Amino acid sequence: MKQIISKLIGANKALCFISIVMFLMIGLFSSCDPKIADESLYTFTDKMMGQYLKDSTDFSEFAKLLDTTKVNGLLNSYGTYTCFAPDNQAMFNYYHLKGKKALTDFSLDSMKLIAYYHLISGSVLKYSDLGKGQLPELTMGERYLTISVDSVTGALKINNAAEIIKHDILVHNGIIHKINHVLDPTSFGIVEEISKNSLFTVFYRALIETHMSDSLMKDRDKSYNSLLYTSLISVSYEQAIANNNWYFQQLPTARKYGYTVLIESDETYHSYNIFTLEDLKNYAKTVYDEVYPEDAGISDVTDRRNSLNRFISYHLINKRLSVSGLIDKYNMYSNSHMIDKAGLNIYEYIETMCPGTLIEVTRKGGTNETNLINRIPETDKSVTVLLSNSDKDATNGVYHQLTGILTYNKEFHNVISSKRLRFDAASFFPELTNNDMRGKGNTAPNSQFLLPKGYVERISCSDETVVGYLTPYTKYQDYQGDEIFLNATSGKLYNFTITTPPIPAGNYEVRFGYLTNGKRGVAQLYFDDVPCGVPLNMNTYATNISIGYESPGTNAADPNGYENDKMMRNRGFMKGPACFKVVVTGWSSGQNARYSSAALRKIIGIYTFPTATNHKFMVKGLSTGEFMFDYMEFIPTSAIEAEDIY
Amino acid sequence: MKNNLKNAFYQRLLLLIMLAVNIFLFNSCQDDYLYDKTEPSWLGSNIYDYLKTDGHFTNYIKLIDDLGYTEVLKLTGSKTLFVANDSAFNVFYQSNSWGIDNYSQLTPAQKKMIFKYSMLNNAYLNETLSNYNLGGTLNEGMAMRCETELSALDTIPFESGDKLPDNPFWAKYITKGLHLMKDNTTVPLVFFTQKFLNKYAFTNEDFSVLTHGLTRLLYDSHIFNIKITKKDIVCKNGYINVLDKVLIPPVNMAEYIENNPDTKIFAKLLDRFCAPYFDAANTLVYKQLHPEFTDSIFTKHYFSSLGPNAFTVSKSNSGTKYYPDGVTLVPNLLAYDPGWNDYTQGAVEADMAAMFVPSNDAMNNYFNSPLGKLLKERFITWDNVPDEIVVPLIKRHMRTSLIETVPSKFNLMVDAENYKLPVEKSHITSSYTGVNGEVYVTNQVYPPVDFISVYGPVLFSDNTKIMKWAIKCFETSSSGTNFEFYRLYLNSMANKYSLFIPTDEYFSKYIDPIAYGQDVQGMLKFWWDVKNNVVNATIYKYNKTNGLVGDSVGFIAGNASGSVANLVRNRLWSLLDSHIVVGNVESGSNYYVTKANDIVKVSGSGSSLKVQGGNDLVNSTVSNTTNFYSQTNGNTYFLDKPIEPALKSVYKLLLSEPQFSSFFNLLNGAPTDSIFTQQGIDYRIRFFNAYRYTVYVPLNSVIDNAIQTGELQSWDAINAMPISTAAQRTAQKAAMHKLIRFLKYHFQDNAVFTEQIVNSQYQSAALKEDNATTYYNTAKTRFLKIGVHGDGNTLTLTMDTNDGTTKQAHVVKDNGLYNLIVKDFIFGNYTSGAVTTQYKNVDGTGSATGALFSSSTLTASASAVVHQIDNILKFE
Repeated sequence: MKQIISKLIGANKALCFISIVMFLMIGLFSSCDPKIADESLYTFTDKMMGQYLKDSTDFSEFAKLLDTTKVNGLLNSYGTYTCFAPDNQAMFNYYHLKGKKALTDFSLDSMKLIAYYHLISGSVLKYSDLGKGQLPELTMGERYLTISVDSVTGALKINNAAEIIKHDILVHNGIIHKINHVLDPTSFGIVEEISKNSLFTVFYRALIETHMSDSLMKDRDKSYNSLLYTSLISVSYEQAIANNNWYFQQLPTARKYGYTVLIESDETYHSYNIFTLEDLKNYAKTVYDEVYPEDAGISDVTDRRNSLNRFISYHLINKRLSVSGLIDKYNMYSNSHMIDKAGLNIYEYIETMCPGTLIEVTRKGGTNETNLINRIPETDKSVTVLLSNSDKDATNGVYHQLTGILTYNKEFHNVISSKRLRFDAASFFPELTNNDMRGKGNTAPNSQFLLPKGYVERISCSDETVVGYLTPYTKYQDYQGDEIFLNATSGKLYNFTITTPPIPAGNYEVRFGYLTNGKRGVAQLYFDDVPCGVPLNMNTYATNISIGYESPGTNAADPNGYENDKMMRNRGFMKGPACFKVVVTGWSSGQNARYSSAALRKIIGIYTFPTATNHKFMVKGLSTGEFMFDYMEFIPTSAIEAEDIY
Repeated sequence: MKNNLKNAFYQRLLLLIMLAVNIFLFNSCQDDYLYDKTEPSWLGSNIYDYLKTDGHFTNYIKLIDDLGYTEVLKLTGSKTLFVANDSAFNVFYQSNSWGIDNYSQLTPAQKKMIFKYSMLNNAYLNETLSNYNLGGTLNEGMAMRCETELSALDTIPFESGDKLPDNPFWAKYITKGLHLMKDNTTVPLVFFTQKFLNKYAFTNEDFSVLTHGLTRLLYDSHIFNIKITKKDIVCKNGYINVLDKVLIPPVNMAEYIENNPDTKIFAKLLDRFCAPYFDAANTLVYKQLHPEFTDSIFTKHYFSSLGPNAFTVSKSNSGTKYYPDGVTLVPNLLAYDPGWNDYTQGAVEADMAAMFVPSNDAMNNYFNSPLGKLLKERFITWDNVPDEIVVPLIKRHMRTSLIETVPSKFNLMVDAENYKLPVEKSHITSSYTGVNGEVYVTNQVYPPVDFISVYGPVLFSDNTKIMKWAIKCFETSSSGTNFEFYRLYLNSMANKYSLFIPTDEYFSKYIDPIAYGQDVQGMLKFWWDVKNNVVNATIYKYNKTNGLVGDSVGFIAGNASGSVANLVRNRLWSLLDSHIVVGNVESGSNYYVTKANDIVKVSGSGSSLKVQGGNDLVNSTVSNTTNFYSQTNGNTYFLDKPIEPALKSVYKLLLSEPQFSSFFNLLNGAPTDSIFTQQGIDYRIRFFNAYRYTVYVPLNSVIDNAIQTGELQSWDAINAMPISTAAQRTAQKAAMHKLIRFLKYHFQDNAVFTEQIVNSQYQSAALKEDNATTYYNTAKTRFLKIGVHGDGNTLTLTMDTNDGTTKQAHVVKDNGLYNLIVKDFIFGNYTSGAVTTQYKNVDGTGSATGALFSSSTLTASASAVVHQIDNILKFE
């Protein structure tokens, strides 16, 4: 019967019409029996958020906004919300600022935008939860809020404008913080936002002149509809909670694009004697002609090989990265998997829009020194973000002012070309960042995203392959706690290709990091379409003689495990790096991944990369099983000799 | 056209709304409604009247009347018809497979086939025909099939014996024939709408190939390869679509392949995997409908893992896995039942199957081509090819999804084992859209990888059963998945292999490494158990001193369970590892390393190739090639004897060769488990593992001289050092450590032979423990290197010195002590002590606490090549 109905109502319009008719029917049918006691609808005594705001004289204007936009109905329902509620004076000031006399002068769309911008659904954020920087939770307006501390009063401010003047007003379905300034949601894209800021005129001109602004325009992939893929989900959040399951699956709700612009102010340029676009062109030429002498003669600034174009492109990233998203939030969250100790630096590599280039972000282990961009170890020089003018939000991105000029110069090129580059698997794919999947910290129950075919541009796979992103979980012995997980539908074999970020030219040993669990299947690996030796039996545990893992310290004749390291390398494997650990032992253990028989690195092979470019890693399952990869490493062969255990 | 669509669409919407409103009114507190008594002006006649009034459907009207559907199509709502007009019928009468030339000649069954197959039991607009619902989810634009009114019982043909498949299950019906349903599931209609084609990115070329050459315009809809010339004629009780031809129900893929004279060879292979199954349920129903019927009805089912289950009445997709006796399990199953009308992998509507069917010429050409040569040589005719070989061939040609099997996606196709299917559009010579899938007739055969890999000759040969069994033995992953690792390994088309296969008659004397180290040595004879299709092993006593084989003392079955379950498999896999070389052994070198890390010496080429393992070199025995096969991913060599890897350990060689005594004494004097450790046949090098190494043994005179000059401390001297104070003990410990590191510097990763042209650096076993700069800039915590320069005759070694000097050593060939091949084994379940304490002897005697020999396992092995050198190797 369902089938028949579906055939009949297949067209959307028909569905719409019939829904309306059915709705009316239900309404009228109900009207025949109107005697339902109002009081029986409520089973609690404290107020719902909507009711509280409505009853409070302080928030009557804001409540009016919520009423008009019908958001109040939502706030009177179950669920959890955090509300930053502007008081009446704040609302009046806002009207005045916008040249309006009253709330009714705003369009309904504008009002909705304002209302949703003050609300976070699904989280109750207490005052004590509001750390500095961008909040990880999106507002209902799908925008982020940034928290800062007022240097004079010490009070927390939102978006560097609205001070929290009363906090932690608990209501039945959430929490309210009173603020003294309406949060003004921008409706501009990243390019427009930069254009409005008078601090960045030279950079903005260059952005326009090079036409790189055209690369910052996308907002959302409207063709993506998560409802089409609900059949992929086998364990929903509700089921996980009901059954006390350790994980649940979900689909990304949208496929949004996002950008980050790292930007220098005119003032910064002045200190380098750059006052005009021409000056910037000349500066870019001195830097990039040295790195790319073959392109020195290209004067067309829209040519991607032109020095100014490279200069600007190197400031642009196709991920929406808050300041904490540059490195900290993947490594420094509560109960992080990463080991933070002096001398053990953590790195994040970010692909820029300048072809073939990466930015390196360093966090110095055991210190608070972070977001050190393109640090030169010998001189300890780097560029970083100016926190007082960072996390500047736009509809499709964010920008951060830098403390100095950022370039992919010869000196940094030499640094990044001669060291091991380790990429967390999730860092390969902007979709995971732009759609709030990466950077969540440990989740419980573990949040596992299933990514429909085509969702991630840099993963191409067969129809039989199921791709998932597993957010960090305390029991995962994973780098940064998360992993990319691939499987095949029942009885089928996986087959996928991953495109890596660009790697500088040179001779590299390439490895991928994974966890053994005895059920990974047999697979043939390919790198840049070249087979990586014979089929690999990944069902084999690390302690199997064919891999030969020995935990350091267990062999008296090899107390540090160096001999075992050599033996494993002879067989094409390495122990896991000593820079991360499992938070809760059980599935695996060890003080760090080096001490875990589950954490392995498979050496894929040695390759010569003639140019700096992206590469393809393909895996074809030959027997049923699953595949996961945690991270990838590219190490110049010349650096292997002196490579550390981290 | 678009407007028509639109109008029809909105008319239908209005009808639906009215329907909904009607329901509402009925339930609500009101009574009156306009359309209770008045028909909307845009509604046409009922279906019957429309066709009658139109005047161009007289044949179709006759069908309706004759089959008693007049009232149904006048009154009953919700029907969709695909009708042909009289012109189309006239064309049909002129040429058809039924051999009729006018309406009166149609049998009742034929009338039912035409009429019922053209009627859907619901009202569907073309716009919504490609939608379907599964589990509550509406899938828009994703349907290509739907069920019709035609019942399997509408046509029960009687098959005469001469038309029945040629296999034993049909034999008893050959003389008398039988009432046979080719399938007892419903017969779906297949259609191609614009929405569906868009959804799955079918190109016009795809459509053209599917329909054997039809072209289509945007928004055209087709039922099979028949175009709908007029869509969505709205009647009171449904829709009429006019076709440009008479729609006769096509057959399913199996029937088409069987009936097509161009695919007879393939059809005959397919016929091996079907049987008639008595259909009790349909016999009963048919008898109720036709009381005069007294016979039995059978259904033809193909042995498959996906399809109707012949033994269940309720609908099941679990396949028919038993012979008609209901007891005997079918050993070789097809991927799915190709005769299954209702083929589905979820929803009938969503997709159907496809098959590439090589034409007779293609099958013959393949059999006579270099690729098929193996098959032909072995079996002479297709009829002789056994089922277990035919099944993977057929399965490779069966596709489970048409959506993934259209020309624009041919380049993405892989088979069920993830191997690429190399189909090209130019291979398709004709096509047929059946009710359950598309048949592409091809001018090519697509042999499974099993056939073309180095494993192929083993699979086909009648004399390689032992190795074939070993290759096909499976392992089980933690998730419970079975996988045949060796088959997957040897089938890797991304690699080149040299596979050596001793044929079955040469497995009579396998010298077991574990038994070799026992007081009573043993030998295994592997043999093929025809009855149980398994390899067994008989254990004999063996005397390694004189090589004499004694009495048999035991027997282990390959399918044994419990503690002895794995012995046969374990030894054969070990043997197999020793017979696989990754790469080409005819590349000009003399020595190659096997998967087991054994070193083998190779001479000659092709069918004249000879190969020797370490033990062969000692005994001057040779394995000769008896048959040579050049396969897609390498060469397969059938041998007249297994390659015998070395049975002598590094320890044993150095112990037994007087010219190595000085170095051996230093090694043997080292504290327990620092150099030698008790494992394997006697001792093994502790830091050797599953890899290949080189050991450099300085001349006795050189070692002795170094000790005499104080360059080296002997163990005697170290052991004589005073140890009264902590400082003295530290000094002695340091001296021991220094000597051990010196000794370990003579063990190198990678096996290098004197014949090799080489100029490289290899890691030794000596760890660098300081930051001093060395000759090869070895970093701290890395292993000191040995530079090896080989000119094809001898090797020169350069040491990783830390004093700025260049120190060298050379391989000494004068004494014949070079390129000596040895092997260190690692046996399973080893604790400590000699192998004689780990296991009992093959005859059950020996260690009281040792495990039975039959439960022993070979875990791994390391090979090494040993050279005498003219200098000690020093790095400090």
